[in-house]
Amino acid sequence: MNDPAQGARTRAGLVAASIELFDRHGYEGTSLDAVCRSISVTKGALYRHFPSKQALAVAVVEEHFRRWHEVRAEFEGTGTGPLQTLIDLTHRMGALTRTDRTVRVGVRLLFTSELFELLAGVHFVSLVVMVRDLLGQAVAAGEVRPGLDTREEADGIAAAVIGSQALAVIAGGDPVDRLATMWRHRLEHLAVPAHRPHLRATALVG
Amino acid sequence: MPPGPRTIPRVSTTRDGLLTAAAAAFDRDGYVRATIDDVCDRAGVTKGALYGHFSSKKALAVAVLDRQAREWAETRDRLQRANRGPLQVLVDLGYAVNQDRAVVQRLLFQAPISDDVAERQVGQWTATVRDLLRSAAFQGELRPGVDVDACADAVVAALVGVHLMSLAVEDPAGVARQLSGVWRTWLPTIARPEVYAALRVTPPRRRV
Repeated sequence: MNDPAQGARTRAGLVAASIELFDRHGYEGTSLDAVCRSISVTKGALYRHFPSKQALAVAVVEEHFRRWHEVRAEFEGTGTGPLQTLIDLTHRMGALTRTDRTVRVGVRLLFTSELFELLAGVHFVSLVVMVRDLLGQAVAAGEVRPGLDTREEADGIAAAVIGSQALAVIAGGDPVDRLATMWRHRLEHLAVPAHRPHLRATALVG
Repeated sequence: MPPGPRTIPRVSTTRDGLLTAAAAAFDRDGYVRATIDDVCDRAGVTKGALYGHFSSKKALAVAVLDRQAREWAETRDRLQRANRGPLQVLVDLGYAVNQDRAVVQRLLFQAPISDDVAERQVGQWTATVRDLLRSAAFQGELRPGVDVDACADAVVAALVGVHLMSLAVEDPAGVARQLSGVWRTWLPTIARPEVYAALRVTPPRRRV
């Protein structure tokens, strides 16, 4: 590891290869040998970055966490209000659970492997914090009905997202449909009536 | 309530004893790590006797899930016989499920048996919620225009999310609070106002 740039490339290559192999063969069905073979590195090179398959899986789940922040930043940049940003963020992450390999594999690892015990708690808490933050902004912007318990709302929204993603990976079904129904019902009490017509409960098309 | 020893129903047969032992083993170790030997030890039977009832670990796990599903169906029937309206049955069933969910969660998430088993279980939960919502519609409890199928899908996702969150952050006391949050979100928009006003969304006082 004399060359740090080379080291970073190897690490990124290992994570990318794992995502592909976990997606195709599952976590249990993927060996570290197979990961090494797919990008032609030695086991020794792998161990310099990841002491175990679990460590590799943790890196994959972290990639998936990063997506949440990237997508949030993307929607915040569009200038829609905080509540619409929150709605769009949940829809996009729901959709990516089916279409984006990193998110799909990350969600699958998080919910259906030993990583649940290690990482699910942290992920859920950071998701609740993100939702709470956007709701707080929505309160400040006058989009949310005054007097609502935003902590309880944030818990409920986070639970709906988690449940929709978890069901999508274990049993199929479209998380976006489930979330659209959730938003349609939740906005009834969450949004200020005057703001409700400006909000779209369904996913953006395209 | 501190986690005390679970009350084990009176064991009537070897098969029941094996299922109870298997549920305990899966609950503690998850599907992948639980062993047939451990199940035999817990049940006090030989491996031969176990294989007389179940052909594999997977068959044993599926039977554990089926037994739990049957118990939940019995709870639902009991609630319905108590003359509660379908929406109240739905609320109370959500709380009742909470008491026995851990092993089911572990077998379907964390260390899942297989996708086909999970699909069947989720299908059953959704059908139960949908049927209760349909009866509610039939009995005039719902607002006009409620999309029962879409609501059933979304309510199941909300309930699964609440249970997964409590499992991950190890906050069993939070479940009841979060479940009442689910009902307070959903019911006002699907139940007619006078029906909602008469519903109890907090946990039942006694175990059902």
